[in-house]
Amino acid sequence: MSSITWLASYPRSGNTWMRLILWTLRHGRAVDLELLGDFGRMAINRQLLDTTLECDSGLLRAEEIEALRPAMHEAIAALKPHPLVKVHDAWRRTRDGRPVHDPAITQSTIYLIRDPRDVAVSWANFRDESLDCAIAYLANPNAVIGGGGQTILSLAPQHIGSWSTNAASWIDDSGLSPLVIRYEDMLADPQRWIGILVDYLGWPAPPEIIDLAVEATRFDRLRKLESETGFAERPASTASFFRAGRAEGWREVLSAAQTARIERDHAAMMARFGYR
Amino acid sequence: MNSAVQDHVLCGWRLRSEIDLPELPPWRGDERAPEIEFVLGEVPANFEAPVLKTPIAQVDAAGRIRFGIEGVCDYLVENGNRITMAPVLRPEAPDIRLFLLGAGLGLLCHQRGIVPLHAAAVEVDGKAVLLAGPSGVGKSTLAAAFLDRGHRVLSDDVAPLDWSGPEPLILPSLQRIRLWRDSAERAGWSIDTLEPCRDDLQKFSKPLDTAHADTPLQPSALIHVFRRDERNSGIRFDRLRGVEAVQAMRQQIYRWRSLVGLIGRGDALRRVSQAAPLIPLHFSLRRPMRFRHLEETVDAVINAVREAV
Repeated sequence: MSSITWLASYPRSGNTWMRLILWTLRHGRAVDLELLGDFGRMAINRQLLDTTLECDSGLLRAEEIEALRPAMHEAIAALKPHPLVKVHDAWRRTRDGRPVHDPAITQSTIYLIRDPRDVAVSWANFRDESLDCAIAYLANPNAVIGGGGQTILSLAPQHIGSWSTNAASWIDDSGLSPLVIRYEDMLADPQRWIGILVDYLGWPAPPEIIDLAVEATRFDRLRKLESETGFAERPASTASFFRAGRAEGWREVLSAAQTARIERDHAAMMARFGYR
Repeated sequence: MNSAVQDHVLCGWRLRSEIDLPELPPWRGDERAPEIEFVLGEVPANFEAPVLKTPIAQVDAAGRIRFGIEGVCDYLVENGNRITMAPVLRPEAPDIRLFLLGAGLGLLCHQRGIVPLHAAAVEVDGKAVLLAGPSGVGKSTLAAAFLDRGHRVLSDDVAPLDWSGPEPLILPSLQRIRLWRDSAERAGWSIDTLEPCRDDLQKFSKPLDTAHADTPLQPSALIHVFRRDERNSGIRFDRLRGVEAVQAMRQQIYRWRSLVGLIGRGDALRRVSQAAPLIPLHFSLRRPMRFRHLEETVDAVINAVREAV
């Protein structure tokens, strides 16, 4: 039952962009935002959760959902052939020691990584928070998205950890040997990196389809599509889901002190992935 | 104990329960034997040959359904008339009633041939308007907004459609409405006086009392509620007809996979395609999900139904 492909990343690191690329590669035509639908959605999407479990997951406590997640992923692996599942959670084990993202049901894992200085700027915009809040959030090893419990959210809580611990959990701890793709490399030479990606996944993709995927997912096109039709995955806190989509934008936004704090918080992992 | 005191009414049926059910009115009808029983007893951990198995629920070929919430209770639903509970928590814990009267009731309906729709049901002009959609789309919040405007409520989450008689009927279900903290505060509920649905869950239950529609009503409209991107600030209705209406209704069948396990996909689809035309109007409703749009959404629903009739 080795079937799930995890598309893992810290938030705002190109995960949705990659889903749009993969959609185009799989379907052989240019994606638009309304076609994306459930393709590569998170397993903790409320509707998918309710259908997979046959249960009102909104009535379950956060820790009950957490304990059910390995079994739920197993059920997803059994339901559909080779599902693609987006993840922002850190790789981890449940309280009783089961891996939440179990190697036994994993076919392949892609981990996207992006310069934390750009992630901080994007996260601040996305959540409509200050840069300093975003920077502190990126450094919080206990960060959880959606853990407040005041209302029912469209996603169950995600234990994402810090930018550094998130990356280390997937790359070093999981035993899943992910294909690691740097957001910046994908931007600079998408043809080459999509080629590496399809080789890794074993998907047939002739050069013209790779060219189509590059064209169809350029940020100017995605922004235009979003302005025309909106995007169901955009939260109310941000005016647009697709923003600049470029590297090193942080240089125009972050103060010297803010930059220094991020570089101090994430020194080891930044050095490892060439973020100088 | 006198059984007349003990028995309750649920969806018009006489219900005998071995646990207290404060959210259900007492039975005041005739001397008939109970049609439904909730009993305490043993529930098998696993079915030998389940036709459906999820981490929570199992269905077997004999039409039995078991589901369990770890640390709360296991439930066995049989014959459309009996739910056996094996509680882990003390039997009076609200958690046990929450799943009993939610999933338990929905699954009983399937076994009885009644179609449970994942919908709130409110009374408009003497008929039931169904506001359908997945958890979190705002069904209960909309039902509470109708309640504020003086409309009676039949159900806030699961609306049973009984199509066995000469006319289709929406059965009144629980005499309460449940809201998450943010919606409850908007509705002006004093949360301190209300019972949480479960310990540690910020969802609260409020009795409906006289605002509960206690007799079945004919359905006038099934409205599929969607969230709309805030940028499109308007409220949009689209009338659904024919196959489109049937397909949309299929999405709102509560515990669809369990129904498929019980009677097979072909019969489940036939059941929906036969029941859908019994509801005169089908709409999709797309609206921004902010609380400030609630009032206009209520107006829009009422107008849409009245104009189409």
